[in-house]
Amino acid sequence: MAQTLVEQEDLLVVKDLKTHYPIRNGLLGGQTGSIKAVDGVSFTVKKGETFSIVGESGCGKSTVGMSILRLTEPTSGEVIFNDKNVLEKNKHELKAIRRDMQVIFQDTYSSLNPKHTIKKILSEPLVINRKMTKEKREERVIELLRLVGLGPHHLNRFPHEFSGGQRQRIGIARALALNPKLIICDEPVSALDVSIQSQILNLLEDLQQKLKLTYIFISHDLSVVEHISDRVAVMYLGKIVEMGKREEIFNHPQHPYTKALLSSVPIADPKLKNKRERIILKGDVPSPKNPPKGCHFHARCPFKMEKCEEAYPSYVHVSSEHRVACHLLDS
Amino acid sequence: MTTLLEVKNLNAGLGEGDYRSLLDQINFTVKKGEAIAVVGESGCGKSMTALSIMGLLPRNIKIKSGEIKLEGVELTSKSQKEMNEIRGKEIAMIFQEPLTSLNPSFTIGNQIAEVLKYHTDYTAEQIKEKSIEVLKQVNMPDPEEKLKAYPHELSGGMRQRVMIAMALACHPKILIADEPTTALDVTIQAQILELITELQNKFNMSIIMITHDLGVVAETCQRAIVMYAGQIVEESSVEELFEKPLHPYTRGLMLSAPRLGNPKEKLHVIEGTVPDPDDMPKGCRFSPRCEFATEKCFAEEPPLEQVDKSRRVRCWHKLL
Repeated sequence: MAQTLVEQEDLLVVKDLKTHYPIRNGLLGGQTGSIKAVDGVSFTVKKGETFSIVGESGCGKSTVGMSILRLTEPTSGEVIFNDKNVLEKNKHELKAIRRDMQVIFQDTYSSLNPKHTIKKILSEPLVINRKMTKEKREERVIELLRLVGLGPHHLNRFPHEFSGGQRQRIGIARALALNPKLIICDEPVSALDVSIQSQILNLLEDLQQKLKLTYIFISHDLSVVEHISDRVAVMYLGKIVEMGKREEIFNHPQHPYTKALLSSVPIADPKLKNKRERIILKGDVPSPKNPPKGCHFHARCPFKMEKCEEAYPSYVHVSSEHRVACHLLDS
Repeated sequence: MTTLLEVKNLNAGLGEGDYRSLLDQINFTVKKGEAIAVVGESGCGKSMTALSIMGLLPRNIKIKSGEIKLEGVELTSKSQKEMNEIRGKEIAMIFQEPLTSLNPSFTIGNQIAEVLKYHTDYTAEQIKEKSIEVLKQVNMPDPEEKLKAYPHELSGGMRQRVMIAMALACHPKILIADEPTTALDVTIQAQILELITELQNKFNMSIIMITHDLGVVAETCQRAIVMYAGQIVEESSVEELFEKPLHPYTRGLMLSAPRLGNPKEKLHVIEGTVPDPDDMPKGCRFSPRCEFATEKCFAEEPPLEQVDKSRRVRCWHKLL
């Protein structure tokens, strides 16, 4: 929810970002094609806001996150963070930038080293990036644990001794260690039970207020995204098909894909059963190896027109923030 | 409606001497043609309940006492061989992860044929015909071609359709669906849920829908059982459950899930975590996390009480 004061200043500008994975085949391993995981994505993230990227599996939402951090090397485009172009930096400069950009992953079990104690896990970023005395470091680690609702008695335990929700708290504490400006949250609550999910979502919101954080929230869960976002981008097969303020996307969706996504979510209210307008899409998401010509969505779109098969639609601005890539809005 | 399946005072747990309870006094019935939901968070025992009905409990987990009756026939005393006759024919089950439940080295056709070979005396020709027919029933595009496909060649949604086709091949009376759409994308989930409901109506089949998603419950089921820490805490018709949950846990679950189209400032939180089966709280198992808990809740375990004809709740301070 937009409780934070979103500033007008842009923290992150992504321009025409492309990340293509090569497909290697044959005896000599020559490149026979590419998977266009992210294919020309542009957006800006303002200081203090939560910008969400939603979409189904394989739409490229996680690759966008990884490309911003350069954990996957993008093919082309620009990522400007705090007025610095991340993609042009060398290894050394990148390290400095990454202090301000952290990430939280979905699977808390594989993202924490099982052989390290919590103390070691949380001290590591401090050892690498800050000159601190041992005492100062320990103090900071305890401070981090308190920040995420854990305590000093957890210091010498190992990740397997914690529940999924607690492990996600540790993941968050680690991301906070260096006082980052931006945190990329990649499906942070998808593996958690409902009652634990709400604890973590509330924690993320509290931390955002307290520490003036900016989030890029990557998720497939539309109800969670509606709850936490200020602005939302909907991705389909490597491209953003619709982007706008939360209310615009959830209350006045324009793209048929966004409408279908929203109508597919089962709602916990039996009174609405059979009363909601349901768009059930046919078929599956096509392979990003050879996306359909024209609009990527045309094969599943209930409103398909002739020109949808020919050209990819350009963005139409519905309002200052709200833009949609769909031929239906061309006229 | 006639009662099809009856689970009575089912207790199951780990180990022989040092017994640890995982299912405690599970009681419920499934009527013909109805869809009943078993809801709860991980570790609440919802999948264990399903596996005990199927006779597929892991080797270290044993049914300690209780009855499971399918049309009056006791299932718990049956041998594996006798259960093989029932599984797939009378009761079928589909799982969350269709990729691991399908054998990667056999074609779809092979795997559907296996069910039919076991339970019917069809000829090879009839088996092929029937396989194509069931694939058609689950709306599989070009079913004849798909018989030759291997599981890895299909998408997640298509694999789940194959699982459903296999489950339906012998027209079971009950379909147990264990989180059938949890691993699927939301647009595919909508397709599969619609398919399950359609098949339920077409064949007058009973469904036991095991899920953690209250949205799925509201959209596909008529009755629901809420489980917590190995016990049933509430049972009700779906309308009444959502209208007025009686157990604080059910209420908490409903409030803590963000609901589409209804964003709130702050999400409700159920503090703490699910108890460890080794260290069950005394008294009510939900008491340490309950905002309404009193002295009595910490000391004495509430019984599962019948509130009216179709509602049961396990709470000292039910939210009437």
